[in-house]
Amino acid sequence: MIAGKIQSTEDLRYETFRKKEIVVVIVSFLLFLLSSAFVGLSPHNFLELPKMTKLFEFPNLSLLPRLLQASLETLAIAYVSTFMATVVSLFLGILAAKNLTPHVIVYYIARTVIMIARTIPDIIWGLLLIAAVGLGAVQGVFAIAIHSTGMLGRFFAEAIEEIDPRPLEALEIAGASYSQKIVYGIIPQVLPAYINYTLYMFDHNVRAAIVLGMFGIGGLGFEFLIKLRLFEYDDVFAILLAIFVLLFAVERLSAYMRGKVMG
Amino acid sequence: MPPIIRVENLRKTWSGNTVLDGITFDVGEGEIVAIIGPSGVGKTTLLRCIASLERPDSGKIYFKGKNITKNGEYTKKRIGMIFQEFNLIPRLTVLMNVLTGRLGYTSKVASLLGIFSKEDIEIAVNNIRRVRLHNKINEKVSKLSGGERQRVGIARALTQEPDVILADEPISNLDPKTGEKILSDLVRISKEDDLTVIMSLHQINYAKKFADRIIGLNKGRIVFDGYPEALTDDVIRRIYT
Repeated sequence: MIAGKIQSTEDLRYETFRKKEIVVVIVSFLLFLLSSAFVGLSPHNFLELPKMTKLFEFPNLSLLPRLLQASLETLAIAYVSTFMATVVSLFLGILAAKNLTPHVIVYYIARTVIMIARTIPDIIWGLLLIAAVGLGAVQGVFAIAIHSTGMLGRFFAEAIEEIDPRPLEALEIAGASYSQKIVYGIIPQVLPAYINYTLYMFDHNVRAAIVLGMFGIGGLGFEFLIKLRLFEYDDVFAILLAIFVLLFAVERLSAYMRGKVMG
Repeated sequence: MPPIIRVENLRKTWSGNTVLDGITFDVGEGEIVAIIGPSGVGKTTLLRCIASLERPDSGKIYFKGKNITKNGEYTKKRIGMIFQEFNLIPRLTVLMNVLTGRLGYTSKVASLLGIFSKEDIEIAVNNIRRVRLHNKINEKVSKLSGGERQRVGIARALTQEPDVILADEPISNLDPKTGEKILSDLVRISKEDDLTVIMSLHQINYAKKFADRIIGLNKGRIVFDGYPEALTDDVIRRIYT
């Protein structure tokens, strides 16, 4: 039996693994070797990884209470930006859904806005805003909000395009207006997906707020960078502990709430 | 007085297939009309044209003497429809689904917040009572059986306070016993309210039992139009060949 080769016994043709699948595996491995050479990855690099443990110092637990404010700031940046993104992308999603857009031109404009907002990472939005306006937590809020609007806008548009159109016919016959059709025919159908995506987005945005913090936006990320620069590793690991607890709690909470929505 | 619905020389082609090939008939006020014929013969298309959900290729449709072929706005609310697949919103409750029948009457902004007038709610509740679903009024539709769902569909159509109810294969997704009960309720309520009903049906025996008049379609044309008593076995054979 030879993989990737169509064979036959009497009048039955068969193949085991398909040729295409084998090619995909080989090509991805070759691409890995090529890319590794490009970035200069060699086996001894792997042996250097344990060096990270040399940094370790027992976390300075007395720092934790003072990290509360930074943690709240990170959470607040994530919450405000997710909230704004959810509201804006709800409308943007409607305009960018083929079955609901008021006009084909509006559709393309909305799709383009979503595409630009989404493809440019939040960190880059953040750096652009800092360059234009100056440092501040608000720049982080807008940066994350813009990127999230793109992400959610696309999800929402797709969720709307997948709805069952039949209830809308009943609303049409009852004389419902465009906005009534959205509230009674579309939103109830897409609500579970909306809540799901929004919770996922919040989870993602807490991480983004930490990373953006390092660029001077504030919160836990900023504290981390300062202590790292000062080589105060007991403080660095206290901050890492706080980041871990915060992200873990947000992730669990988000998973719990998604379970509630789906159940 | 003009007939409540007049269909004149209606034609509709779906990708080369002539589904309606010159359909003409009048329906008088309060008539219960059953449309029968083999599957794919255009019963659904005919009803959807009357409901302004499809545009015919040619021909005219009049509602109370007014040409509505190209002006569906006029008939909104006044023509209700019951669907084969119910077309309800499963995540909403029975009451909310039925209340959507009032949307054409309510003030827009308030209705977007789920605020309905007392009269609207009374109309909806009364219709839910009439289809005997009042003990499930706050249940989500997703929790209901097929028969119960179609009762919600009927209550919603009634809540539009229409003059005409179109029913597109209203019971073909239900078991025969449930289907017969629902059909008899629909006909009883329509008679009580003097509503005109045009329904497409699979089952000839139900058409004979519940309709005042039967229209038989075959190959896009009307091959029978008369009282149920006139629907002899010979005629039935003609419709279904």
